[in-house]
Amino acid sequence: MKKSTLISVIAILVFLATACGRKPSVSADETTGKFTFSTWGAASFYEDCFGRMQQANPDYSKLTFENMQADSEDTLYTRLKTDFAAKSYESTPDMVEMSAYRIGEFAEAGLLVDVTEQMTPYKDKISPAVWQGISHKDHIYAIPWMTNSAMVWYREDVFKMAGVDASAIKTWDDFIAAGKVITNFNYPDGKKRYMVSIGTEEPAFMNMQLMLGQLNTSIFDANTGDVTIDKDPNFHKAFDVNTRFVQESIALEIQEWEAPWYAALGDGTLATFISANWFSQMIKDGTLGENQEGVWRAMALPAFEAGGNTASLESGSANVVIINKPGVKQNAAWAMAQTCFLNDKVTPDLYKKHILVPAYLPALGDPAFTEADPFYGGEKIGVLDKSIQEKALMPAFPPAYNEAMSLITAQLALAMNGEKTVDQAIVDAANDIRNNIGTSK
Amino acid sequence: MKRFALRSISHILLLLVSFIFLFPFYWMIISGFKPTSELFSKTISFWPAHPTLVQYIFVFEKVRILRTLLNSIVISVGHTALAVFLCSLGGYGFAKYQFKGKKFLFNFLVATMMIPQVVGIIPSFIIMSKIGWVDTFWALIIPGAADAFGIILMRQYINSIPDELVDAARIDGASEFAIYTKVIIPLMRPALITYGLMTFIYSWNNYLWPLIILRSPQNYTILLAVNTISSAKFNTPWGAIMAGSTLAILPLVIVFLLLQKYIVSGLMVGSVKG
Amino acid sequence: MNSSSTGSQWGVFGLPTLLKKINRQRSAYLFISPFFVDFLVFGLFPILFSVYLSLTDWSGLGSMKFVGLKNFVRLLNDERFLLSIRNMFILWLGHIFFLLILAFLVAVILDAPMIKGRSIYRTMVYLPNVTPIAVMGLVFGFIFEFNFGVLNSLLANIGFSAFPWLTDQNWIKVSIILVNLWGATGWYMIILLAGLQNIDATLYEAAEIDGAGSFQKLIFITLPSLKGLLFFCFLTETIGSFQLFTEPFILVGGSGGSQGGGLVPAMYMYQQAFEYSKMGYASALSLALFAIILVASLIQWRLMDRED
Repeated sequence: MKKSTLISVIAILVFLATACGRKPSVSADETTGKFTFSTWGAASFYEDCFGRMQQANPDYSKLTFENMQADSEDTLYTRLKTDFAAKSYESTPDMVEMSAYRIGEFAEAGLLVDVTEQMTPYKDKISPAVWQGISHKDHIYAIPWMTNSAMVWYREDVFKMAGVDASAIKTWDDFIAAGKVITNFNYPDGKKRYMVSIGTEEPAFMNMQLMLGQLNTSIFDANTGDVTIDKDPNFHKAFDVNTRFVQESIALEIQEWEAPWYAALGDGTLATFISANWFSQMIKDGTLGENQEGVWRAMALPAFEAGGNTASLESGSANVVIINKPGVKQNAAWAMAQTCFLNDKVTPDLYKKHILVPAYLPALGDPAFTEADPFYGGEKIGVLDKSIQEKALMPAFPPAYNEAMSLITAQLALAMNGEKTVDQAIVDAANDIRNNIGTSK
Repeated sequence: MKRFALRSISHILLLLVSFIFLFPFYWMIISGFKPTSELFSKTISFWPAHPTLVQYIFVFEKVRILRTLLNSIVISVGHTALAVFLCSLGGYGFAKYQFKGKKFLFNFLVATMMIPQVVGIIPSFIIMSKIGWVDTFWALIIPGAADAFGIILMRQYINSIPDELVDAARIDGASEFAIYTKVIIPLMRPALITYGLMTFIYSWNNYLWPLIILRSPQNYTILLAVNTISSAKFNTPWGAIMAGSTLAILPLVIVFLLLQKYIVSGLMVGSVKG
Repeated sequence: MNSSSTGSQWGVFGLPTLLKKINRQRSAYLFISPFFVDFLVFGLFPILFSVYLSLTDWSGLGSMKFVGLKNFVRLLNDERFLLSIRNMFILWLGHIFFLLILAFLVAVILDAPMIKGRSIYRTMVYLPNVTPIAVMGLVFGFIFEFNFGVLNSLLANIGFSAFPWLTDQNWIKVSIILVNLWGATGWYMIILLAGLQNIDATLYEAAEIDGAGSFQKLIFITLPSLKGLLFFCFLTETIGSFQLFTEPFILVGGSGGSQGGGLVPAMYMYQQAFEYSKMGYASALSLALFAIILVASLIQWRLMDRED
């Protein structure tokens, strides 16, 4: 290559590299410039939110909304951590989405703006369980926008074939008994069906989460931070039920969140999915395949004892948080959250448009959420959701929650295999947690 | 007869290997043409039952294909050019020169290859922020161009170039740098192109570091953009990701097809006899 | 030749030669310095910082508290870490010979002019290396799945029972090795192919005149000529294999799958650093892994006869 050509190429590259890249610095004035948001979910929802906020607050009409899409939740958190570690805030968003169980960790490290004052007037308009999730040491650090109300989704067509009556399932014992019927039945099409799936990686993680919530049971003592699972009969119950799913052969052991698992849910190989309200979107948007209309129903969690609590929030709520960085547009951020997630008029309208269920209790009374849904055979999922939100109680998430659950599910896998008794597995899990984590509160 | 047998066996082996190797690729391509409801159906459809362009349309709507493609090109070409330059230059230094500390420096480089990269992300980010390279292309071009693997590979290839050639050029009065450009580079063409291609592909497909360092959507590489397609719903838009991934690596395949001729040309025959 | 032997040349050839030698040394440094500038600034600092971090209990946020060697004491007793090391060795030995032999064979076949459509084959063999991670995750989950995956369905059709590719702690390793071979063969094939190009064709011609067949040419010319490169490949792949992350991660996720069958050190480090927010401990783990790799490499260096 000729020297002059080489130089020209290098020059062009240098120019392009410099030109594409640097952004102008953020202005401290909240009414102009860019408002940056970050989520791993649907940006269009938040964009819509921001637009509505601007309509209601003309002061902010000059702001432009920019979303930094993350490919996953973890990426979003890693970016936040690296920014704060390097004290580099030029590319840090003003507001992000955040799961309830991470709020403690980030609040403790000072990354989140304290919104206690702004949120206090709304305390009795939010589910107590959600309120618990957005608090850290008696201060509020997040604004919830959707709860993950725990529900059991089930296939009405499969239940009917096997002659199982869903309304007769009141306890987890009933559930397992029905599971045996479903799993052992000889179906007319000759296919083998199962009541539930148990994942091969960190099995029953979600089940344990929502069951512990259902029992209002924590892993660590709220005051001392010590592990309590080996002394807590409630923990034993949750652990035991999941072990029985496998031991009594009502579960299909399959890698979840992969193509074959979606297929199994879609074609009725799996009769139920113990999860939350968000599953509705997956059913309706084609992920599970075609022909999903009319075959799915939802019910509240079976209780552990007759008459016991059936309400839980699978992993708390989905929330937005305001980032505690220099020059954060926190008033605009709060305005957005307040207008969209805590407003008697805007909230129902917004959520109806995006097919979501709010975390704001007054909004849940809107007909949009209490109507019968023909897709689900005329069931009123919104009504179910509301009652769950109102009744749910959840313990707070300690910072080491994630790691502790990993260790617990590892032992659960061994108990499911029959390699250990439930008692032994729980003792081992408790010791693992003590050795690896210590205390957590 | 023996030739024919050898050839047949070779062909069979190659076909088998190719078929197995290609399958995930093939799956990615056809998935891009399936509607979402068909993506996960249990009856494995090796061909879309209802072929559709829905996924591609979605990708073009949501992703600024041309812009992110340009970004990837600038980044990958820049990084590759720099890496090839630094490593061939340095590799030549290690291969054909004796100097103090040579053994130590070389072993030091080999040792650095052994350090796991995982936890280096945060310190690297701190450096980037201090010199103002966050959310810029520089952060993807300059760091890592000093690739220990590259310089060792170059040295390995240059070792096979006879010293006589270098000495002959010296006697002819060529400057050290001229020897590098006029004697070594031409002889190393297969190696340079090989390493350049590998680096280009690595840079193009690099995921974790660009994900952390690039923030503005208009600065994303095409692979990043495709994986952060924000669907209107909250579930991962797999179909669109498959379609987008196909688009994202199409340039790589083209580059590879074009360049691989050069990898196998450039024999040294003739130059040795001098 | 080092500077201490220039004394004799001082006398015989005079000053110009000595100056030329010094000039050459300087040139050598000039040649390697651009590389080292980039490396020292961007490559060395993260390493040194990691070393410092390993002596703290930093979570990635907030303050860094110095804790001395506590992390290192912990990792010596960490069962999961030891399990990951064991898995690493099994995966390494289980794949490296297959990989290099396969890559070598394919390179040799594709170097020979008698095969038609070589460039197409070459592209196809190399393509796996180009496949993005997200794609790999989706497709392989789908191929190896126990109940409904492609592999087990095919096996059922020819009368075999299903293999627990991703659910049994030993079979997980087999699956990882298979995906590893799939992805890495093309890479080494390309490197060896370039090396094959550098072999003097006259050697082959001379051997043919002497009556050597294809097989003999392979053993007596090709292999010895590539010895240096093959050793380089072996060492590089060992080092890379000890840091394996992608394949186990996409197949069985960050926790290593059933009974940690797919847990590898790099994954355990990632978990500690980013999922459990233990940057300090993760840094200590990475140093421990580095030490292991270093020792293993030194042993290989000694065992393999290097002439350089």
